[in-house]
Amino acid sequence: MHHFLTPRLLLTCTVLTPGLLFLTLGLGWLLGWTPREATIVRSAKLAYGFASVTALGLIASMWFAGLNSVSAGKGAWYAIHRFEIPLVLFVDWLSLPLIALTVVLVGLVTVFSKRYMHRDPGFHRFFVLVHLFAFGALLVFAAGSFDLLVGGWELICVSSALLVAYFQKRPEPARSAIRVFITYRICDIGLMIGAFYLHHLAGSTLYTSVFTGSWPSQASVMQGGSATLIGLLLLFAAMGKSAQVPVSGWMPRAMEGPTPSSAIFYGAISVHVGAYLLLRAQPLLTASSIASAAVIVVGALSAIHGTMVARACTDAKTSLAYSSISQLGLIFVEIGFGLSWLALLHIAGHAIVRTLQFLKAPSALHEFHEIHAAAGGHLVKTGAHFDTLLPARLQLWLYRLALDRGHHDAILDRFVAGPARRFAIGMASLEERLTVTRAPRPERALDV
Amino acid sequence: MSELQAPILTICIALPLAAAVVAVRTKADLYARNISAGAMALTLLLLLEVLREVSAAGGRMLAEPRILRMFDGGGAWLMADGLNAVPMALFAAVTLVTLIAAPRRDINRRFLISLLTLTSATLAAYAASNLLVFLVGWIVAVLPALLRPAAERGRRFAGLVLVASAISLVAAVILIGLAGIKAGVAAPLSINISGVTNSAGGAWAFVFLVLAAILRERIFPFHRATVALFESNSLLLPALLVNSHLGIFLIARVAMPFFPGIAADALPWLGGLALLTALYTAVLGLAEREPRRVLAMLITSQSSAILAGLATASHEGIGGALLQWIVLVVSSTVLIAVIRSLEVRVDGAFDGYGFMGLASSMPRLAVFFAISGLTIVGLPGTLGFPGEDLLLHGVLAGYPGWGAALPVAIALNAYHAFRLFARLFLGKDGLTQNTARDALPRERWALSACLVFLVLGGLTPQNVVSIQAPATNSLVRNAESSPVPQP
Repeated sequence: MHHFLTPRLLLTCTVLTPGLLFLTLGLGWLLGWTPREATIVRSAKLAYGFASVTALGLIASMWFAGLNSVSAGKGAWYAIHRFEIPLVLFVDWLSLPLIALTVVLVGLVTVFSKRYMHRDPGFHRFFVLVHLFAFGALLVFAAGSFDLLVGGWELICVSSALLVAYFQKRPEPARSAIRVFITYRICDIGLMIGAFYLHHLAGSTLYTSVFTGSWPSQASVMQGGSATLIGLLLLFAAMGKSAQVPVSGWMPRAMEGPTPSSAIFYGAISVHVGAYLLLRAQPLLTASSIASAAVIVVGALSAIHGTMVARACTDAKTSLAYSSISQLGLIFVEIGFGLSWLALLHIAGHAIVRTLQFLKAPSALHEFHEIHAAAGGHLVKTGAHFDTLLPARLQLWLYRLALDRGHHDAILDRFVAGPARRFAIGMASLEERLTVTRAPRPERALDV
Repeated sequence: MSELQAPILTICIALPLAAAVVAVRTKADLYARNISAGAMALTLLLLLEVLREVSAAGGRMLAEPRILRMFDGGGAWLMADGLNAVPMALFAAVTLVTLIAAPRRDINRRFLISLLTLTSATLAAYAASNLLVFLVGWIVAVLPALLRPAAERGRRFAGLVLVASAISLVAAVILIGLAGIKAGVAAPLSINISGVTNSAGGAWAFVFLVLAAILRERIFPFHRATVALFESNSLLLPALLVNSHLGIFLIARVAMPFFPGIAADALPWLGGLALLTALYTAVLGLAEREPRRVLAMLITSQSSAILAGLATASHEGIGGALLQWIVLVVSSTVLIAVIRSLEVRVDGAFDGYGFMGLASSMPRLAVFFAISGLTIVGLPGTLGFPGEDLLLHGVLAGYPGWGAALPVAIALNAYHAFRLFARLFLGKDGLTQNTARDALPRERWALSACLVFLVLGGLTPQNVVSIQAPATNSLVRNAESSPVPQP
């Protein structure tokens, strides 16, 4: 029994459980099987309960065996000539807490969703997508190489966009989903090219090949310009997932999804995946002062932007979203300064607290009234005295800036999306005139 | 040269033609569909046997048995090897899926005859061991698209491009033949020879070959032809024509082995042009909203990426291109089948404006569309992921700097695929009021088979990569005979 429950097996079971559940529910539905709500919830409880036990077993087995890391999997997933992509799962003391956090929080959210999503027409779809997300997130945290990490990263992107569009009969969630999707995919270019350069320069994207030592005292085999280039590319990818300035505009739009998915995606796990990527690539950042400085600047700007906008928001979920951006900015700053343990603790604490806040958001007003009444109607506003330190005109200007969320979306639309669209329409019209097909009916505005 | 155990390739080319003859003579269209589907299923099984034999032979060339060698110096007319065995089986499979999933409205004698002729000709071109057979297959395959009713918009431009590609190929074949005769080769048009074309006319022959490929694949500046083709009344036929990718096959089968020296100089430029097309058509997609037009841009962009991968002459690039070829053909077949099913169901009110909300009445078609659309752009867990990954590595390594156009193009294509999905399936269903039928059993089984293939291939990609490996190695060996300079 002891030999059977190896850390490798525990790791594999933890990662694969949500994936298998996703496949079972998804394929079953395609073939005509739609399980009852009770079956869906029971299977989710069982799966995440099992995954939580295996994750805790993994922690215990590594702790007692004094292991710094565990790898599982076969050599090449696919290979051609001398190029190969390994299929290796890997955990160390950076990824293990996040894996445990993921299975526990996703399990809690599925239990919460039992009542919250009860009798919703998309109940089955919601759970299928949550399982897909959980699998993607676990793949990101347990990937043994940057190539495999890309796989989990993209699964998070797809499940996130589809859950934002969950309330599919309204056009606004659909528009928001498109916005979320395009932001993710554009930023993912950084991860794809970064993974390529890692492979190109180091000959592999396996963590064990790219970095030496064990977390958090790892070192990169690459230095100088290579480390800077890859560090900046990975930062760009992380900015997209963690909604950092200036690509944070998708985050409030993502609140169109159901509250439980908002909690697990934008409070707990998904937004921290970008921070995890930077923590994983920390040796590269350490080797490049430019990349580290860029991480600090992006994080600091995002922290200020997030806290400012959160104060001007009029609804609970958007306010929480910007508060998350602010905290993520601080986490980026910590990573930039090389405070790895602090950043990891910050991620875990923030994920737990924010999940609770998101789940309680629908009843926030009710709770406020309860507390207000319990305090005898004498609740005092906090934080107002900091505002008074600023000149009145600056306060007004900052308020307007915060109200329009830093004008980030308008700037991106005007200087990036707009010119691309105008170029496309102009060229399409020209081409249509030159060929015999009829004139196009161009988009008046991008679907975002 | 080793031989196949039976004249399977001839039978595979003849079977669709025989089914076309039955379609001509029968009055019941649905009966004709069943006969055609049966013939294509048999063809697919036989081609899978060919694939097995080729794999067992390590991807080496297997000729048809000697009884059919009548002309051109007694050389074989048809053969199978690592390069064509997979595309042949793939094309037969997607023809079968198209036949099964095609809406009843599209099934008539004209459609069936066109489809089966196109398939037979395309299989002949793939299996050709002789440039004449290849040329005949190439020309006959475009005839169904050229002979559509005149009222169809955009026909003229697409027709011009297809005719020009045929003329270019004719010129190339004549020049290659003349060069072979001058060099005293017994079978000057055999595909199995190389090196005789390093004469003065060889460069021109290569130019015409590449031009034929560019025109056939509708690479920039001819990309608009895809839109024109896709706007035909019958979407399914042009889609099959586009999915044959005979232009890419021409480069791999003829241009690279016949002209290794010239190809080494020219391929990087061709790859650069293909990358430009991939990016440019992805950007152009921003101006489009109608599903057929968006799909045309998406497919053109992705097929250009395949050509760019092939032109890198590296293992990753070529391996990724061959893998992505499979992904693009299967996924786009599903996408087109779904679009056509929707068009029939909503009956004319289908312009892609606003959110159509069809997922509420057709959730399974929505799932088929979403998965296959995202597979084209590398959805993890499907064959698209390793295909895209290999292609990216090959192109980024082959084109330092300019190669970054590919990830940008893929990101934009992903946006187009998701946007199209959202436009069609999300929102409130104001068109059918939730009364339209979801996927019919025949559609469900045919499209599910495609998805199962993509997912199983994605979970165990090495199986597919290994089948393609001999072709990849052979193409790289051809290219390595002359080092490839960077553009």
